Amino acid sequence: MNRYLSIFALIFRIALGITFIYASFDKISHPAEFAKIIHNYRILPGYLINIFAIALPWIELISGLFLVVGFLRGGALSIIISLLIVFMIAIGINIIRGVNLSCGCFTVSEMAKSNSWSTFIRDTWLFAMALFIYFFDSSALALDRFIKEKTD
Amino acid sequence: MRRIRDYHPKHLLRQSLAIIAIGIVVGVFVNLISPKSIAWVGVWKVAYDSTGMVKPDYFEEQDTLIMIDEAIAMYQSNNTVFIDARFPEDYEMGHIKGALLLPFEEYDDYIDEIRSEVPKDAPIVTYCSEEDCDASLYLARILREDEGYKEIYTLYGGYEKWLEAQMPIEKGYPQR
Repeated sequence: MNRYLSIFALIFRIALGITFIYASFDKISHPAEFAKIIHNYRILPGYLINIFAIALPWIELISGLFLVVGFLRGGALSIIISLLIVFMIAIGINIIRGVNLSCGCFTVSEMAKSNSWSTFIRDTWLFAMALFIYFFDSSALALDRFIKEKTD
Repeated sequence: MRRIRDYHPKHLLRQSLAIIAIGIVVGVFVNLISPKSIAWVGVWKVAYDSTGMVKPDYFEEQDTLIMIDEAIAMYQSNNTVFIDARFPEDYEMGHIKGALLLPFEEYDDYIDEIRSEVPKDAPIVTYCSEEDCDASLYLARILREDEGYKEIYTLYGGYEKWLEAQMPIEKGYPQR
């Protein structure tokens, strides 16, 4: 039983990692458009928008990459879980406001308006996957195995 | 074997901070050297110019925004083609009377009709829903740069301003 759980956790780990890697590409190549999308959420103060647009896609990429190869995967997963929570809150706020915005999840294409509810639900699934990994990933095929860690 | 849940939270936090630090360093570095770099702190406040137009933050020098009165004058001159950049559903629910549909999002499906119906030297006004939408501006850039249309304007404030001015509209799909 446990073995199946850890196999699923491994599959999820790789899938979730790839999702985040993929999601970062378009944002990395179009920082100005991504900044515009963050602006559209109307949550962050103006002076923080650009620095978020500069750093966030790279944090997504590195977290995704580390999750796939299993390097510092605890940290990578923690970041991904935190990001998913932040994304869900940001989308939720705009659902409540009644604003239908382009989420900027996988593309920064202008006017690529997605249904906010389906974005929210997709994030919930990713979140569930992340939790599964948290509980059942056994560090199979993970670089973390080769790293000596203090067991504190 | 070590599960992530067995890590001490302090440990997870340390790893997370390390990744965030790497992300920020790489992001900042790339933004320093990239040709697409953006300002560290953006100007996201709206700025009015002398005509009362709030230049959108995605505004570029070659864009030609026009105010509603200019658009009305062009409409009444009868030789201007109005192009609706919104989604087909929006167009169906109501658009500037006589406007052609060219949704920015479904450009490839509609451009052939525009190519065959609109001569390259015809004055064109693109519009989308309101002040905050940018599809009309992006559409204008594509029409200018890729399709070779020479005289392109974008209606500032879009369809919303048109409705406010109580100018003629129509519903449904004349095309297709």
